[in-house]
Amino acid sequence: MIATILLGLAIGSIYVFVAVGYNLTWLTSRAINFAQGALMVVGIFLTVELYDRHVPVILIFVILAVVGAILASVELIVAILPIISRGAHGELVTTVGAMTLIQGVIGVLVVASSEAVPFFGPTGLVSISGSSLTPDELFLIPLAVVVGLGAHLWASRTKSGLAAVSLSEDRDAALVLGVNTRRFTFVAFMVSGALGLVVAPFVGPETTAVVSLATTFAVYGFVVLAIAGVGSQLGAVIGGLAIGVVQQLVARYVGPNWQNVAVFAVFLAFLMFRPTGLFGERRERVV
Amino acid sequence: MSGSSRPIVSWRSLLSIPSRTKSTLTPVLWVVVVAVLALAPELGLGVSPSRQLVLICFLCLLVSGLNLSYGFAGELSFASPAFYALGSYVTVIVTSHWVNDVAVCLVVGVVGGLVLGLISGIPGLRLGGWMLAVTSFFLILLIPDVVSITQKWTGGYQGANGIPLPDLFGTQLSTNGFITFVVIITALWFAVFRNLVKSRVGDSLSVLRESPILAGSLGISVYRAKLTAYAMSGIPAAIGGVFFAYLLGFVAPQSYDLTLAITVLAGSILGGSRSIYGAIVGAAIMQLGPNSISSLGNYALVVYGAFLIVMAVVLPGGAAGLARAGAGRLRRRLGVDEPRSGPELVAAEPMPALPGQTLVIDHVSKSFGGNKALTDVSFTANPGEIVALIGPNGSGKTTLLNIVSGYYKVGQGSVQVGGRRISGLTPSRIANAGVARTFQTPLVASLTVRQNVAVARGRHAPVSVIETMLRLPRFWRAVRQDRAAVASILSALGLSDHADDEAQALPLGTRRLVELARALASLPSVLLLDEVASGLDEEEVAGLSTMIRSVASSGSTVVLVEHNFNLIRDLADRVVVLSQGKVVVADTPEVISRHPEVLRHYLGQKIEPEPGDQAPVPPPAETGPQVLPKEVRS
Repeated sequence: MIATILLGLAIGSIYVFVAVGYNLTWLTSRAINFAQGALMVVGIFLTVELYDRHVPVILIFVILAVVGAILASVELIVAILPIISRGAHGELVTTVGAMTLIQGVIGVLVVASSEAVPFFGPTGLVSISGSSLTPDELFLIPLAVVVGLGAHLWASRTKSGLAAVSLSEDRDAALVLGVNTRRFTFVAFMVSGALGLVVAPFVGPETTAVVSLATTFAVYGFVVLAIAGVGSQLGAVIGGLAIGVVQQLVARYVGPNWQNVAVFAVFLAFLMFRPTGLFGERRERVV
Repeated sequence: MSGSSRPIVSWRSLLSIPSRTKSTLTPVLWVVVVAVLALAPELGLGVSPSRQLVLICFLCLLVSGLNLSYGFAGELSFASPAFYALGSYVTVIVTSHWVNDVAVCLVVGVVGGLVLGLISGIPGLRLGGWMLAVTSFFLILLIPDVVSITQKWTGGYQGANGIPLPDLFGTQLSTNGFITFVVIITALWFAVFRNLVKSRVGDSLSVLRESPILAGSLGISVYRAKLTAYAMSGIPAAIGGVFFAYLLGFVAPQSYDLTLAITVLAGSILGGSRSIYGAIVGAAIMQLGPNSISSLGNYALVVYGAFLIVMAVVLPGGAAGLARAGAGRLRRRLGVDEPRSGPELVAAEPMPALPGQTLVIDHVSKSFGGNKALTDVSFTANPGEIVALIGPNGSGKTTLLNIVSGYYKVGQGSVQVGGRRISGLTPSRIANAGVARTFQTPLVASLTVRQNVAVARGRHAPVSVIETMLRLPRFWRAVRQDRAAVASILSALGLSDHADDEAQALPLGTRRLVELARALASLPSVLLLDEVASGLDEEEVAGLSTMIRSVASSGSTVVLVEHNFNLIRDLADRVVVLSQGKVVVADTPEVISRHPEVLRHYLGQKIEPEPGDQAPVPPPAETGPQVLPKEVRS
């Protein structure tokens, strides 16, 4: 039971990363980036490749961060900025396009459809109250909490974070007050892209490298947002970890075929009975 | 120029075919094309092209479903593979456990598609925005799991074998017969789809896609309309799934994956999502192009992904948008559409009788965060009466209208219409209780003036979706009633010449009149007008005030937010003055125009007490910090 819960927290940490990335871009540009999960998969495959070339671990993290920032910026320039002003969430189509494109490119470049990913840190099993965990799982959970809380403190305590929140609430007003909306959007995309790839050396050993994970990550990240309330980083941590635990408990005690169904049920229940999520606010419409 | 006048004349006549000829020509053409396609295998079309024809039909069905939900209702959905899988597995289960009849499978599949649409749409549409996209995306992930859980009936991951050749009403369909059947059913769906889109239902979808706020004020429930469109989008997809299972004879969950969803989305965008026949173009291109190139292999996702980005960025209207723009340019080039002059406000027709109700604002307060927008506001407006709301900017006038319309919830107090409490209801329910309004910035949908006005008549001539799709008698009756009612209102407002013009292209003053016409078309009990005269010239204001007076004398209750005090003096029976969210005074225009506080706060005039003036003059100390005259300071 405890082992299952710990494993759930570790898996849930992955969803926290995706949801935090969604929130970053949402807060600054009101754009939802479907390709966030695909970026993480790029990171996983890139990590494997860099391990094969015996690149030092420190350098691997730098490369991942830079590649992530570049990929996200390119996506922003090509697929989001040209259409974001048209409204109607046209970015859903283009970022799904970006997600598909990334999956396709990985599929073309990579020979094996699924690859195990080693962990760069200590190996062997760690025993906690009679159940054993791998070291990467022990790293994932605190990392997710740190990333989520960091993003939360940034958005609620720092000047730039508050400016970003004001941007999401009223873009025009923020523009008038002198917030450089374009720079914020770019920085947010670069940070979310870098975040998506940088966590890959921790995520990969847990999930192995599989192309189709891009869609699973994308969807589960959205489930986290629905539970958290869009824009809430604190909620993303709680929602992500909770979903991981639910998923693993169902997989363990009901059957692996039921985990998606159970998470879907939780997702629908939140949409029905608490559509603004745990930490979301309902705002009134303005004429 | 003069030398080339001849060919231009013939072009003109070609482009402006009388609509009556067009309306009989199109269905005939449609029937001929469908007949040829349906009989194509019999007429010697080869096996491989025949199979392509059927596959195009399947993709057409899927794309048209997405067009209904995404193009027309504005809700992106990735559910096509789920609906498609549902139709296929219905066929597996019905044929193996019950009966092999394609008609039975179609009926069960359609019902199942609707149910799945409701199950995923009811929660998915609650929040709006992009949650439906996510919910429907999740459905794709669930397909393999659900198939595996229900392995006993569906065959699990390995798939289900042995779907028999299709029977229709007890006789086995030949290969060619099956193709004929598929083409005919596809054509029938497109006819039904077209009927739905080209109706008040379709116009309502345009309104809610462009402005949910406007839709609410017209009594259209955004949630219900979107849910209907999305659930209906499951029908063609499920039909396609039934056919697909019969064609292959084998069903496995791997066929219903993300790639299929992306193919459908690409087809929709390629043909133009907001188009009926664009679905056919998009589906045909996708099927004959990328889907048929087996060498694409690994590169398929690369191509589709890049394609989605490029199409959505460069050509958001798709092929249909391109065609429409081209036709429009050609028409303008040839001068078929000639600009017309503005409307003449002459009350050519008497206003229909309006069922006025008393509007009671009962101790209403409202605050946003810590800001008190309204404090204990009370007044009553009676049928046949024109009540003007005035006050400086930020005094709460529009906030009050928004509370009456239901866009804001009341803090304390209540709003009643005809003795019934309406505060707390949704905007669409309040509209259906007889409250109509116009907006400070006119909101009109990208439809013709006639359509914009007719959309407001849903309450008086209701037609169900099924009646609309099948063009049952009630639909035609409502169309006739709409035509007559709209014609008389347009003529009363002098808009008859603009009836078939694109409403959004009209000048500001005319758009305000279109809003007024639309509000009147709902035969309002209470009419709320928000700065209806701003931006109009003097002549237009004079015409408008005649119109508003005749609305009130026809029985409606009119509440007018206005800055033009001359218009108010001319029109209003009573004036309610708001300042900082409170009622300063409420009285007749004559009294108000002499009221010192109004003069000071609102009209910005200095108070020069006239001899014999009844109104008490307040001490000037109230006006805040005293500023000494310059000469005294220096």
